[in-house]
Amino acid sequence: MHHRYIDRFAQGDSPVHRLDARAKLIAVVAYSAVVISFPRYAVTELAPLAVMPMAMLWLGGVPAWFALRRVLLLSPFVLFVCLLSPWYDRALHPAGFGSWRFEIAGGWLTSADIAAKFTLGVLALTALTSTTRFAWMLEGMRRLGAPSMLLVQLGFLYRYLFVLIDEAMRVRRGRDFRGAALAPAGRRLSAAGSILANLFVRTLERSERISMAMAARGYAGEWHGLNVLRFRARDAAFLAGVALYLAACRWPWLSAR
Amino acid sequence: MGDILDITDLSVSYGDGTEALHGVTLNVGAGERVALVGPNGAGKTTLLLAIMGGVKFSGRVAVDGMEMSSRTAHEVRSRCGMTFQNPDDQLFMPTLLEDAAFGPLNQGYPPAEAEARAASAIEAVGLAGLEHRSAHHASEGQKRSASLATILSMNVKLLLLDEPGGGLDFRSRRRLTELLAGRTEAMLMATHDMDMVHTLCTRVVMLDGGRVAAVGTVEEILGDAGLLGRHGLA
Amino acid sequence: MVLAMHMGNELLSIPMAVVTLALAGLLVGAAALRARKTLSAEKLPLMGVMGAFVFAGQMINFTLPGMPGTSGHLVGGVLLAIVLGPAAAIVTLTAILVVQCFLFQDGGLLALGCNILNMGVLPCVLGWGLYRLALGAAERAKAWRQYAATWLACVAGVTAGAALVPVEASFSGVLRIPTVQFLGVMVGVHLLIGFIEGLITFVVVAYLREIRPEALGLTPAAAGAGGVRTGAGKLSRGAVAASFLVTAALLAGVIAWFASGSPGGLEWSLLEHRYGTGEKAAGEGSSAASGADTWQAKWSLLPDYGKRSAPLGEAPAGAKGVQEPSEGGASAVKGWTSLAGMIGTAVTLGIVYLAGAILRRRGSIVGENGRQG
Repeated sequence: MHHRYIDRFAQGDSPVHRLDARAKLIAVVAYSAVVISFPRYAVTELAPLAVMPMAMLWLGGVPAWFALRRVLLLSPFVLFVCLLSPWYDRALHPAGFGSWRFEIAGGWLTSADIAAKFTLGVLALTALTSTTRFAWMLEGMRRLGAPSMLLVQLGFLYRYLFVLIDEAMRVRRGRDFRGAALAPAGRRLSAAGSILANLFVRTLERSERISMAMAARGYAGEWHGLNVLRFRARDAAFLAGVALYLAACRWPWLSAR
Repeated sequence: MGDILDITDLSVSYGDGTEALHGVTLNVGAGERVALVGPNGAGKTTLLLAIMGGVKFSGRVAVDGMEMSSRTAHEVRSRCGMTFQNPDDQLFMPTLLEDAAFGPLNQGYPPAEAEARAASAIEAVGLAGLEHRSAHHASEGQKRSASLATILSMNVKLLLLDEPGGGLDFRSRRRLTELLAGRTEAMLMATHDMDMVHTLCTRVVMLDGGRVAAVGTVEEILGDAGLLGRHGLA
Repeated sequence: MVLAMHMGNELLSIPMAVVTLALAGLLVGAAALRARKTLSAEKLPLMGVMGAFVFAGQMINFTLPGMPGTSGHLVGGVLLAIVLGPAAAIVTLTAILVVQCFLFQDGGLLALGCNILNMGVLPCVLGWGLYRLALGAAERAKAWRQYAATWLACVAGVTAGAALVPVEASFSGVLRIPTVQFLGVMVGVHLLIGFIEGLITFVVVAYLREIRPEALGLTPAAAGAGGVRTGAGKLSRGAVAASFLVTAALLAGVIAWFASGSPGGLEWSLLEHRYGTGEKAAGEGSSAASGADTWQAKWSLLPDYGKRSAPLGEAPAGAKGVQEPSEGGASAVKGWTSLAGMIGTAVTLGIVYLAGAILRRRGSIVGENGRQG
């Protein structure tokens, strides 16, 4: 997938997109905390939690394949834990589903639990970031108190990410067209190093030009931001709804075994 | 003197001794549009940068009567604005609106006012509705227009444009030309695009090797094939 | 194949997430203040744009000899620290990790604290410290010495950060896999990754010596003569050495603690015992293992998934915080509740899907803004 489109769903417009960035951020952080607060053998108890991220994704117009691709690119940790847990935890636990009773080794439950929590976490994060423009997320974080130097850097990083990836891809294509794959290892390594050093120097020079552009528009050391975000009644209602939903998902299992 | 830009005997040399500009003298009247032409490496960009105070120079540069020095740089930059050859150097904020608002915010306007100025500048260049778009999601033509908006929002009196039409297709160039034709600010435009010069400008200053090679009206300079040939422009 | 080595939320408990987020926040805040002092105002874009370089640099891969299908690439932490100084490098790496989390969903939102500590703060501080230490007295550092220092810094930085992952997961009480095994795998894999990172970093440094030595803190003449000016960092050598020793000692101490606490064989026998008779194993194991269990019993918010019988900070009488098999009656209720939960979820999802489909047909969602010419 072309890198330019990694960002594109955030540029859309939908009821979810129009929610305040701060509300969505707080909601997803709370959601993630509730997900990991479940004990390590919880599996079916996690099911109702699937509703929130899926609702945000579907109502936000984000296609399923986009949301799932990150889940499928499995984190090596999740794979590692899922494969090894059944090996180490063989104590049997009674479990039930409908009228079906059975016993299952704890390790399998842990595997399913970790996999489920991973999936839910990724879906929620994707729901947040694909319905919120990055610039608005930055403003939201600034108004919630994040340090401004970090946010300024995030702004530059986001802005120039795609520019530099483009440059790197062009250079890499040029290298590949000139038969790089056939070169011996030493030359391949040397070429990679030279390309990187070149890219590095060009980046240094680019940042100098940006500095000059900033100075030309009057920058004198103090950074100012716009206040585009507006927290409205519907954002408060959204947060209240999420709080109720999370409580409903978690409460029944608070004293369960 | 009534001129918006007054340059006298401007010289710029780099750290290693090479001279980028030598003894350049020119002026631009209020509302006048002057083209700066010359072969690659003639020093056009360096000249524009010197006016903005971006490089060290000797000589005198005055914008709207105020002389450029390290003390007055901030003031002068409120009176003239520059667009760079590469819009990716000019548009460095996450959204176009924030880019256009950067100047007014630094001029001291409160956020609400700066946002209003930025929004009207973006509308003025024909990009209304794209305020919250990121530059990397914009086409070349849109980026060029957005670059212009970043200095129009500052209400400057003099526009310094470095290759404003570079890399644009015919339609985008024409659109940009129309946009510039409707502006009332004074303009000093470094360019290779002779059509744009014909349409927009009244006077031409030709640079070659860091020196002024010729000054005259558009007809005089661009009609002189021999002159153009001697300086690598035809 | 490029692996994402970021931690996800599911490896952490809430207390652990809060602690690491707070700690990371403090350290990054301190680094930001320091970076402001060491980099002048006009270099402000430098950090962010360098961060973009690291992203782009990760696209420049090179196939490893003898390992078809895998490729090595630059991760970038140590290079950033060498060029920008450790404080600015930490801020830049934090920005990179945040962008990776938000734009690429690499790593969990609540795990950002851990990821920043593991892949930002530790490699920068430790790697840079080692680099300056190994570079020597600064004036007469030869090229080979700079390369060796770079390589060492990369291996140490990457591996140390990786070693923290099992530690953090273990403190969260999430895993059923013995920590030592996890640690062994992480360290082993990352020694290799660090080795490759060191390789590509030192090649880049070699080229930079030729084309832009000032970036590395060398004067052009000095690069030829092998001298080194003090670069972007201003820490005293004493401070660098001290921080390195402390970090190394801490890591060694933690690893030793876990190694003595739960060798794989001991845990296995504990499980066998419980499997056979259904009784709780009590009083066995070394002091460290029972210490860990007691610690968990004291601080776990949901021991045995039930309410705490003792206040937070005290161990409940006789309990070891270990799972007990539940009775048949409870599992019957649980069985029906599970089914009900799944059905309810499926119905709700169906309703939401329909709502989404209707909204889409009305055209009120725009997936992509078309470009105008």
